[in-house]
Amino acid sequence: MEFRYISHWSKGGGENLRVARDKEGYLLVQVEYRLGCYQKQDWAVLDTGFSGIFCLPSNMLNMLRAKVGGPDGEELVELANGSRVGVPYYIGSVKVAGADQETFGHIYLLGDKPIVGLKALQGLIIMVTAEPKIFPLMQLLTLEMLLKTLDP
Amino acid sequence: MSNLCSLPTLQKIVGIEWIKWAQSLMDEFALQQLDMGLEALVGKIGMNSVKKAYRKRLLKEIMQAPPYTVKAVGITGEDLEIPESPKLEQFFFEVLCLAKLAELSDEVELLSPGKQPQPEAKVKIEGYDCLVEVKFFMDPMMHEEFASRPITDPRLSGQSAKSEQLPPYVHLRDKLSEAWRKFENARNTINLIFVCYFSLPEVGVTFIPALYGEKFLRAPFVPWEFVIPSESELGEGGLFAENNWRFVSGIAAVWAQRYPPIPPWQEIRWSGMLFDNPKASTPIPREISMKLSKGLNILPLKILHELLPSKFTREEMEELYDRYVRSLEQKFWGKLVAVSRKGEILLGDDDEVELTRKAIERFGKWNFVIFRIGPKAVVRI
Repeated sequence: MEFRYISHWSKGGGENLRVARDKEGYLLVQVEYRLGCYQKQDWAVLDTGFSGIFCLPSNMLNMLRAKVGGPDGEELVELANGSRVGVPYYIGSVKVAGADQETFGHIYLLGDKPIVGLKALQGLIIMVTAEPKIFPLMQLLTLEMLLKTLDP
Repeated sequence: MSNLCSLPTLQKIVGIEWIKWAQSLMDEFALQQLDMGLEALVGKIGMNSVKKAYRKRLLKEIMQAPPYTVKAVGITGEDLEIPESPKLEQFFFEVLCLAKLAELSDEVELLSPGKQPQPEAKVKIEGYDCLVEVKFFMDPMMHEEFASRPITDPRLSGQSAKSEQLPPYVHLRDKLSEAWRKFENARNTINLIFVCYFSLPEVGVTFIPALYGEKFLRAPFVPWEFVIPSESELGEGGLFAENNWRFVSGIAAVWAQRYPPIPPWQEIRWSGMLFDNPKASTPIPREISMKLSKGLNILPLKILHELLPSKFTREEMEELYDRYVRSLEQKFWGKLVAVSRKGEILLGDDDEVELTRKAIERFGKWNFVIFRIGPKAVVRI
């Protein structure tokens, strides 16, 4: 039930993308996804370890079956621990809110929260402009790195 | 301070003073949701029954709730202090869960606690009588100050330890261990426990080992690859293996998430997973699983094969690759390929959508698998 923190990331080109951090520490980005005629806006975990475009929670299967029919197919997916599992997918597209590009690909049903992957972020330059109270560690690291470069 | 008129049902049940007090303990959204939940119950069973079931409890719970606030950053970057009471949230979840179930049910009866322990409600879904108990599981790692308690770790010959020092499934099992007692005298009904799951670890390391036994622990948990164990396969440590638990037909892990993830919230989104008890004296009928699945967005593990009828197993996919694709590795490494059940091959470049469309046209939906030549998997997650 808990999502508490918000920050803003900016995209190359100046438009602001809304990014939030949930209580579990994940960074969430607002996305719009489409599966056939079904279109929805949601918040997804930004996962740079995911090479695809988008993942929806597996428990959405029955709802999606009612809206757009069964999945389009199934394929092997490699998980972070190196194992491979069969995962159903829909053909669809995803767009990071605030960006213009819409990326088409397989939208997998896996896990318990929406995940947006690297392929959907291609071509976007994302810079963190967080305030110190939100990412204190990141700020400190950046400062330390800056001092190192200045030190002869 | 919010408009009191926006909480009309609460006002009728407990009065304005209660609401004023509650506003210092809970955020406005939670109170509005509670009001809407109670209103839904009133619509189904009438004000008198709702008052009888909840008035005393509402008064008692709020007297006992410790004041607590969470620091947050609002949508424009401003600092917020949001009142929050995990204890009240547990109670609110119970009301919201029963209100949601009431929407799916033909009949609802809220049960008052008597001399014998009994569940929260009796509902009729798809013509079946069901008894419903609602529990709340809060991860001790996230809320140590509220949830920490000494519990018995069965792995260490019954030694007692702090719950947050034990694996998640041990304290979940401890939390649920006595829940079967509520159904001891209910032999002919479908007996369901709804657990609000507010925890970091996924179900593969919590519900699965707690209910079916440690040997079924899965991380990560992929529902498509999990088959509910038969009665004889159940692991010793699992609650469903215990004889007393035959009274429980199944457990639903339920997520109730505020949406959007940052304030101001607009709605609660429901989702979850349904775990059938293989030893249940009254198993969950398919109609109820489907109804819960549609109404609460719950994934019914037992009937997943019905939702994905022509699914390939992982072994079948690996075999297709070894038989028909491995020989292409030297020449087409990194390209995508679709392979039909019969071994027909359709080579693509890097456009998975175009290849899928062509493969559906040629082989039919669900009659093929797409691989990336070399790594086998098309993506890494």
